Parts: sequence; structure tokens; C-alpha cells
Amino acid sequence: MNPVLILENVGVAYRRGRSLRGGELYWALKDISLELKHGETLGVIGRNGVGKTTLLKVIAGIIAPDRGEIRNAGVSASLLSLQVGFVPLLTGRENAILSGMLLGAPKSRIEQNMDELVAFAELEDFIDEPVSSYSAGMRARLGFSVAMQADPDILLIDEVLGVGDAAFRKKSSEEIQRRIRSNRSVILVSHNTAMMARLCDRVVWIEQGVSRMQGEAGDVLAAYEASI
Amino acid sequence: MTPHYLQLILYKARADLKVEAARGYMGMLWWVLEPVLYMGAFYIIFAVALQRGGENFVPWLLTGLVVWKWFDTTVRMSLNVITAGKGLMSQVYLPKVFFPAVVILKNSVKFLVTLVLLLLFLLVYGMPLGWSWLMVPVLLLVQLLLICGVTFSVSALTPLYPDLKLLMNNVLMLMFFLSGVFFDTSRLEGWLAALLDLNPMVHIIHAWRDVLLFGRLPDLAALGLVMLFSLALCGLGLYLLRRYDRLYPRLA
Repeated sequence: MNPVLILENVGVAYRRGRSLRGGELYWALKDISLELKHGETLGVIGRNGVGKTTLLKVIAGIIAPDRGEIRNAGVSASLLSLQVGFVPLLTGRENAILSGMLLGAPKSRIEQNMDELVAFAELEDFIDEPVSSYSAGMRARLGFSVAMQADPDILLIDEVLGVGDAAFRKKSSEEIQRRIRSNRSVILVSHNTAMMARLCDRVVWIEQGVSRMQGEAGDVLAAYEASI
Repeated sequence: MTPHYLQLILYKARADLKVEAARGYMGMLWWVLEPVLYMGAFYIIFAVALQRGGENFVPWLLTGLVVWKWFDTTVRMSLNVITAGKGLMSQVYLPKVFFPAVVILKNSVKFLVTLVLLLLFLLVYGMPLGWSWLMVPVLLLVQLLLICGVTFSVSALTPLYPDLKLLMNNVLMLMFFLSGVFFDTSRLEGWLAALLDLNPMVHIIHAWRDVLLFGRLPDLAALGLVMLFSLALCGLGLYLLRRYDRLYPRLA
């Protein structure tokens, strides 16, 4: 299998304080190397604050690394994000189009899939009401259904696995797992080692901004768990 | 700029305008009411209360004010627009020109409403409708380019140099008083006139008055220079927005 994404010795530094120059450097990521093959699910594991979220932002092209190299064969990568750009005073339908477009889905496709999207979100009677009148659960359902409109080559998932009340949590979690298991390339960040063992083909373990180990999910997860 | 992002800019600007209209009870009526009140206040002060400025001073003043306001409001709103978009740009990748472009688009739509009101006022006031009004699209284009140039550049730089926001607020005020909204810059001479000529809005306001009030062609050479300057600024702004594209989400 060809790799769709290669990171070599990637580092990201933040500056403390205001300015462009000067100020102390803080390396959130020091030295990350990893490889993602087409169609596989790669897990990223590590404790809080080791730079997992920063890593996903680099892969999504949101921020540029300060050193090292990223090679992707012209593929798109985006974070699974919920309720992106929601505007409370717009209707559910308008928010679905706006948010879906922000996530990279073409307007025509969102409009085409609208009935399906609304049915999945269980919002048939409310979709033309302003989102400000929604409950938190309704908003979460709409946000999730819209996020499913995004269709990147590499899907980046940061602990988002199911939202809303118990019933919708089950449904949305199943939907995500269906996508993870499909032929799509996925990078999954989580603390849940049991779930990672179930979903990931391979895992990379990050500690203190450095990729410490990469390999078969079982091996890496065992080594990670032995270390804590 | 792919068609997808152009479509997104259009949709977002439309959505923002809709939200603005949905905020108050009077909705879209405010698009008409606000400029009417704005122009009305100046009408009352200068024409009724002070009785100043002689014949046709009020149309002369309102023309300057209305086109200045398009420039001023758009540039002011763009000072903070990238910093305010930080939440969005850390969730999804967006070409950063998206943020100022939405500001320009929605302010331009509101300006067009105001412009129609101004033209109606001029006709009611008794200004003759002349062939020169056919130049209006040209003036719209030149001023839009200038607004794009300044807005792209300023919005690209303020997140890097926050002090620029304060500076720009004062520069805009200075430009306002020196743009000839209140006085006729062509009456000045010597170095002062040369200095004022460096302000592109002076030429734009002149051109609008030539076309709408005096029924003559604008100074095309001056407009051409403003257009070249604007194109250069557009280039600079777009270059900076691209160059710092993936730095903005990291700035506090």
C-alpha cells in the first residue's frame, strides 16, 4: 500500500508573548515522524498535553510546521468538527449549508443530501426554525449530521465519537465507526486504548512532542500501557 | 480562490446580512432607515440650522459622506476580522482572504442601497439627470478595488501588529477630514494640495461629485492612478494573506 501521508521530523514551536520575533520558543511538537497508508486507520496515543491536537492541526493544513517535512500526495485532510461556524439566528437548514461548506462540502451536494441529513438528525419539524431555538441536544444532532457531509481523503478524529442523548450517541458512534472501518484513511486520536485496539490498524505513541513508537496496534498499545 | 470558496463567501455574506436584519424588529428596513437618518442629520445641521455653504452644498456634502462611509466602514470592520475568525480557522482550513472578502461584500451591498437613496435624493432635490451618470459603474469599480486593496492589506497586517488597529483608527479620521468631504480640496494650492492629492479618497470623492452633481466626466488620469495604486495594494494584501495563511491560527 502506498502511503498517502508522510511526516518526517515535524516540529511546531509557539512563541510565548506577543510578537513575531523575540519571546521564548516552546516546542509543542519536537520530532514527529509517521506514515499513513491508503485506507488504513492510524491511532495516535499519548497523555494529555503531548501535542496530539497540534499534530492534527498540522496534518489538516491549519498550521504550518516550523521544521521537518510533510508529504501528502495531493490529498485533502480535515478534522471532524461539530457545529463549525454555526450562527444561532440562522435556521437549521441555512446552518447546515453554511457549516457544510466551511467543512469543504459543495453546496449542491449538501442541498441534495438535505432530506437524508435532516432525517438522520431527527429534526424534520424544526429544520426551518432558527438554531437559537434548539436545545443543546438538537444542536449536537444537527452538528454531527452536517459533519458527516465532509468528505476528505484523510479523516482526522479527535475524541469525537458520538454526541447527544443515549440513543443518538449510539447511532452517531456507529456511524463514525462505520466510516473508520470503511476504505477511508483515518487518523484517530483518543485516550481509550480498548477502542483503539478495536478500530486501529496501527498506532503511533507520542510522548513529550516526540513520536516514540509506531507499529501494529496491539504492540504499541501494550508498550504504552506498560509505561503508565 | 476556487469556485467553492467564492460560493462560500457569497453565502456567508448573505447569511450575515440576514442575521443583521433579523436582529431588530424593523429588519431590512434599517438598511434604508440608517442612511436616511445619517444623511438627514447632516441635512438638518448644514441646510436648516447653519444655512451654510451656499447653493447645492447639501447634495455636495452628502455625496462625499456617502461614498466616504463605504470606504470607512469596510476598512474599520476589517481591522479585527482575522483575529475574530480564530475559532473558525483553528477548526477548518480556510484561505484567509475569506474573512475580509465577506466584510467587503456585505458592506458593498449596504452601500448600493444607500447609493440608490442618494440618487433619489439628488433627483428630488432637482439635480439634473445627465449622461455622466453612466460613469457610475466605473466609479463603483475603482472604489471597490481601492477598498479591496486597503482592506486586504490592513486585515493581513493587524493580527501581526495589533498596534496598527489604533493607528488605523486615527489614520481613517485624518483621512476623513483631509478627503474633502467638508471642503473643496481644489481650492488649495502648493504643497498642501500636493499632500492631499496623495489621499486616493480625494480623487474618488471628486469623481463622484463630477459625475453626479456637475454632469461632467471625472478626471480619468487621476482615477487611472488610483486604480493602479489599488491593484498594487490588492496584490500586496493577497500576498500577505497567503504568506501568513497558516500562521494566523497560531497567533494569540
